[in-house]
Order: sequence, then structure tokens, then C-alpha cells
Amino acid sequence: MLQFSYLPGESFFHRIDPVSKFAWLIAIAFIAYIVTTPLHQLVMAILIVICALLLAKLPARKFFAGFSVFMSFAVFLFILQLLFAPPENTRIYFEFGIIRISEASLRFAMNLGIRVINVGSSALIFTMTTEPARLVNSMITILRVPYRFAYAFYAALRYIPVFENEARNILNAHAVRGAGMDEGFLSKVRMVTRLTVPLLISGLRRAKNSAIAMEGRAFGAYPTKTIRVDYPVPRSGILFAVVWWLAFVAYFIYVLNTTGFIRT
Amino acid sequence: MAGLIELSNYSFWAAENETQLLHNINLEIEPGEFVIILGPSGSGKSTLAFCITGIYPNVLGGRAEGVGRVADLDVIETPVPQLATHVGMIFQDPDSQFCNLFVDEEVAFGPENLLVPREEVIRREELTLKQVGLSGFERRFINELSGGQKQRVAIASVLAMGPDVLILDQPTANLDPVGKSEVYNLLYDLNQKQNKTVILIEHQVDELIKYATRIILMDGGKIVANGPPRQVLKDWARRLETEMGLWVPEVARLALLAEDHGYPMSTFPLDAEEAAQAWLELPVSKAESLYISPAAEANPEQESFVNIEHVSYSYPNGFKALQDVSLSIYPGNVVGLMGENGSGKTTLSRHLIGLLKPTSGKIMMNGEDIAEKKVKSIAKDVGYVFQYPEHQFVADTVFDEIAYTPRLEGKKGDELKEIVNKTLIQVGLFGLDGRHPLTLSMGEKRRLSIATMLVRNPKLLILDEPTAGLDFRNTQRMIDLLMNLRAQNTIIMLVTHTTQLVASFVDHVFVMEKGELVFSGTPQGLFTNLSHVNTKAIEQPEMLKIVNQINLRQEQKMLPFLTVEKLQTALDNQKENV
Repeated sequence: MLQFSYLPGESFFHRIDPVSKFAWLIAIAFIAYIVTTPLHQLVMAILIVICALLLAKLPARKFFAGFSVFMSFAVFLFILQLLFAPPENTRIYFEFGIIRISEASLRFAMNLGIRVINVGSSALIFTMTTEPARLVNSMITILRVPYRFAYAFYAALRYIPVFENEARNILNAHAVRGAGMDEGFLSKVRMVTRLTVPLLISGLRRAKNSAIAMEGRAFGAYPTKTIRVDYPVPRSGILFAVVWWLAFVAYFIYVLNTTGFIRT
Repeated sequence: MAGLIELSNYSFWAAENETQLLHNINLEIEPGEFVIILGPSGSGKSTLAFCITGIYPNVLGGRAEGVGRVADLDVIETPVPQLATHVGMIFQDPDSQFCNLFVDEEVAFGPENLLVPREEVIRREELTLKQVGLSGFERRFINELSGGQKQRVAIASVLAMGPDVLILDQPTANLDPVGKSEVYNLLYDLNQKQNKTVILIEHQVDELIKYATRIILMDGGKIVANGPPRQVLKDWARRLETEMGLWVPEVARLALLAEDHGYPMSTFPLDAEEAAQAWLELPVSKAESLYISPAAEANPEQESFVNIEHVSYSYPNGFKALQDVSLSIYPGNVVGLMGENGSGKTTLSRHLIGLLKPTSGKIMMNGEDIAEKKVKSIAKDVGYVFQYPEHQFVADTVFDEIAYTPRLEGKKGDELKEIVNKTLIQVGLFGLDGRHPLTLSMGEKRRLSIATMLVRNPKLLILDEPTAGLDFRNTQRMIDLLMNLRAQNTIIMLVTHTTQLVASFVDHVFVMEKGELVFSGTPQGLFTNLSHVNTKAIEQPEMLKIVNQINLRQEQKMLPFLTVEKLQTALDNQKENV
């Protein structure tokens, strides 16, 4: 999980405020949703990689390490679509039982695969360039999200490395007992179930301790809190988000045009 | 003026089943005191702390009766956030008491929640970080700090709320000696320079007594003793160990030993200097056997069981955890592996069970290279007991837990039952076979996790901090168990920070520092030459400090006893010989 967490740095993406960045993220998700042409989807993927490497200045190795997680999911979906999507009267390349690979299924599959990568990798850029505290701060000051909600989200982040470490320890401890040493899918499933109970128990204990600690630090004494740092809201960030939303609107009109919804 | 903290006829009942946890507590603590609370597990120490901070009954529920005031606020009625500006609490586990990711956010969190103006928040943040010696750490991830640093951040973030009283519940239980002294020194400093009142709950108090103005002893939800450390220890030292199963400081133990020999000390000692002075006044200090070392037993030449040859290991991120380590482990030995957190001792011990493989060098076990062997096959000869027993449990009953490995090996029926019962008896858990492992006490869990390893008759048993968090009684049981194993020629390897454990029972000790082996030899060799060993992570045994003080004061040099028990043995031997 650590490969998804915030990487401090100096870049355009680090500078702009989280709300504009979030607007950008949503715009991408919308565009990815309405694009059905694999080539267009691919163009966007390239644009996102450019954002990651040039505008966010993420180290290529770390970015692609996180990227590969979505990649495997994308490949999974690609194969599923390729084999089972309906041919819709297009040319069929291969047929065997319920499996049919057709021109349409290939197009669906490619589009869906790249779509997953687009949405996943843009979210990755977002988390890697956004300092969690600043996100909470912007949620409170700009979006007027109640402090309690904004904080709950933030507190969850704190526990990721703690649990990660604990899970590793438990797996080692079990390995020494001769458990979970076999390869294969079923034993992986068994491994996860064996991890669940101890992690859950320590999670509950931690939750109680955390509640006590937070209470002792006056969390929730008032509906708001002192804002200690003013983060800038650069105009360039807003402009950036607006450009992507315009792109969405433009593409949307283009889609409506080509599918014949708008008659001129 | 009334005391800063004042409880009178204060009683408390738990929410769930109305069990009375505190009985008629009467207590008054003045500003600037340094109070230590002692007591067995379940005696009500933590409950008392929670009541003073208002967490009981306000957050965790329950019912309180009587009067409780902190800085003239009613602790039963006042909301916790308001109380928190007068009394702050710090817990044992550093990881679950943080609410943020970065140091500066954590320190500012309390004041921010109290709507303290921004300039003041920033001022307090700078001030408290300076007080705990962590200026410049503002933008560090809390998660990446050492244990001692984490606890200092916890203290700073409580201080930022401006309390006069700090209550700490075993704040050093998870720390190595370096972290421990960081925290203790800081507490003393805050007490002396900032006049903060410190209330500290701890098990082992050797180094703390010199700071304390008062010891409060609790048992069964009552305060049974409350007074200056010297008085409380003098009156209670003997009962602490025998009746309550608590640790007695070594200086007090020496005083008890003198008393047993018919020579009570003139003043009951609190530190090594006082103990040395009082000891030298006694005729027993001249006993011959304390000065003449017994003839060393000849050690028969033996084949080593493990040979680690020039092993280096780097983690995938490039961190060099082991650098050219070579050592041998012999049968029938108790081996200690010591070193600061991050020194490589856990990395090294994990190589012995095959969880990690050397980057270079090789490990020979029983004459075979284990590089290609899987954990599963190494585990036939080597047992590994992790620090947190819960991590190692895989079954729903104590019986199944122990039966797990024998079943994997195909044992069943009466044969299986016999194996399990034998093991249960061996670790003193007979009769608990139907219980769920997680419902056992800490001491029982530890022994169960050892049982799961013993069932295979390992030749080498590695234990990671086997006595951490255990009280005296449970530690004693653990040690008895290990000594029995040793008598059966099992090699025991203790991965530990605990000086007392190494001083008492270890035959050979290895010390790691920054991935290198910096010492290999007897505990006596280690502790008497500590200044020449390149490490900060090891404390001198309390008894040895006393011996050094004694030898400063007389011509004849007393033998370097590491524990009071060893001195006792020497005296006993002399009696027998006469």
C-alpha cells in the first residue's frame, strides 16, 4: 500500500490546491467514461503519463510501480471482455463454445482496459502529490465539509503503515509454524482468512486506544478547529481544472454529434 | 491551598458488570511531585489514571462515587477536553495514541481542537518541541521515528495543551534502553525545570527511584501504601515479590539479603552509592567467597550447532542490515543477542529460521548449508517465538494450537493427545486445553507460543523479548521453563534488551550495533567492559553498579557479581563449605 502514499516534492501538481486537483480527477473520470474509442482513450492515457512525469515530477519508477497494480486489473478486465462481450454484428475472429472474440469485443476490451488504467493512474497522481493534511484543510475551508468527517478520512491514512507492518509480522509468525508455506490460489485465500482475525483484534484494541487519545486531545470539543496554516489556492490550478472540464464538455458534444443526438 | 489532585472516598465501578475497580481511594498530590504508582496487573493502576484524566467515567463509561478534583475541577463532571488542559496522559503503545501523520500536526492537534488562536498554536508547537529536544523534526513522518522519539512527540503533543500534570502508563515498555533513558531524562527535566507534576505507572523502577518523591502501591483496587520511596520500599520490599509478584529493585533486594543474614542495613538504600555504603558497614561484606572466584568449570570441547560465516544482508531498499557477521552457537548454551532497535539483531535471528536469506556469506546448521532450505524444513530443528504471541496463533483452542504442527506431520488419535498433554504440562498450561488462545493472560499466551514450538523438540529455540511486559511472577515461570529446556540440552537464544535477563541466565552474549557484531563473550565480560564495547544500547546491571561503588571504597576488590542472586549463591556456597 505504501506505493500509493504521498510523496513530498516540488511540482505543479504539488503546488495547486487539492480541490482543483480533485476537480481534474473527476473530469478525467467523466471523460474516460464517455470515451468509447480505444484510440482516444489511449491519447488520454498518454496525456496522464505526461502529467505524472512532467507536471507532477513523480519518479518514473515509483509511478509505474503503483501503475502496475491497475495494469493487472486492466488485463483481467481486458481478457474478460475480449472473450465474453457480445459481437454486436461485427466480424467474429474466433469462436469456441460461449467464447466469442469479435471486432466489437476487442474494441470494448481495449477501451475498458485503458479506461481502468486512466482512472486508476490519475487517482494515483492525486494521492502521490497531495499532502493529506492539506486535503483535509481544503475540504474544511473550501468545500465546507464538517471537520469530523474530513478528519475521519485522514485518520484512516495513519493506520495503513501500522497495519501493513503488523500483517507482515503475522505472516512471518505463521510461516515459522509451518502454515501458509504452500503456493497456489487456495492457500493464498486461507492465508488471508488467517490474517483477518488477528488484524481485526488488534484493530479493535487500537480503535479504543485511539478514541481515548483523541478525546484527551479535545477532538470534537468544538465543531471547528483552528486553521494553523493557510494554503494558497493558485489560479493556475483552477485554470487547469477548468481546461479539463472544457475538454470534457467539448468531447461530450462531439459524442452527441457523432452518435446523431444533435441534428444540425 | 488544597492539593493539585485530590481524591477522597473515590470509588469506581466498571460499566459492563458493575465490578468495583477502585475502593475508597484517598489521595492528595501536590504540584511538582514525581509519583510512581506500583501494583500487580489488575490492581487498578490504569483505572486510577483514567479516573484522574476523566476518561472514566466520561469516555469509557462506568460509575464513580466520592470526590475527585484536579486543579479545582470536578473529575467526574468536567468534560475531558477541559480537564485535558490541566492533566495529560501518555500511553504504552506509541502507535495508537497518534492522531496525525506529521510531527508538527500532532503537536498542534490538541490546541487546534481547543480553538487556541493560530499564533499561540505555532508558539506552543515550537516551545514544546524544543522542550522534548525535537526541534527540527516538524516535517518528519511520525511513523519513521524511533520508539523513544515517538514517545517524546506524544509528550510534546500533550504538553502543548498546557497541563500541569502528566500521567504516563508504562511509557517505556516497548522501548530499548536508549529510548527508555531519553524518556526518563525528559520526564525528570520537565519535573525539575518546568515544575510539572509527573505520575508514572511502571513495573521495573530501579532507575526511577532516585527521581521519585513518592511511591503509591496499589493492590485489589485499593491504595495499600503511599509515602516516600524509602519508607514504602523498606516496609514492602519483601511482600512486593512474594505476595504481589512484582519486581523489587536490586538495591532493595541486597538490603533484604543482608537482613536475611542477620545484618539489617542502617539506612534502606535507594541507589547504588547508598547500597554500597550501607553494605560495607556490615560484617557479611567481608565474606571470603565474595572475593575469591570459584574454579572455572572446564568446558568440554563441543561441535558448534550453528556457524554463521561472513554473513551480510541488505534489504531490497538497499539498507545494509548485516555486515560481515560471523559467529558460532554451541549446544547446551543459553545465548543472548543484544543491541539497539535497528541494530540488526532481529534480522540476524530471522536468518536462522530461513525467513531471510543472506545476501552474501553462509549459514551452516548441523553441518548443512541452509541457504537452499525452506522455512518449513528448517523449522523441524529450530523454533522461533515471536514477541507478540497473538501473531503466532492459528487455531481456536489451546489444544488445537499445540496439535497444529503434529497434525501436519500426520499424528492423530491417542498419540496426538499424549504429545499435546505432555507439552501442556511442560509449560504449565495443563487443564486450559479447551480455552481460546486469545482469552489467556499475557504470561499464559507467551508460554503457549513456546509450547507450539516445543512440540517439535527443537534443537534451537529462538525467543524474541520473551519477558517483555511480564510481571516478576510470570517472568520467573518463563525462566524456570527455559532453564528446564536448557537442562535437556536445547539451545536457547534470547533476543532481548533486558539486561537483567542476560545477567541472570545467559552463558554467551552477542551484541550487534549498526549491522555489525561488536561483542561476543560471557555476560560478565560484556558488563564489566561495557565502556569498551561500541554500543549505547546496553545498561549495566544494577548489582554491578553497586559492586563498582563498593570497590571504589575499599582496597580489596569484590567479585563482579551481576545479580544479587549470584552474590547470594556465593554466600550460600561458602556456608556449605564450612
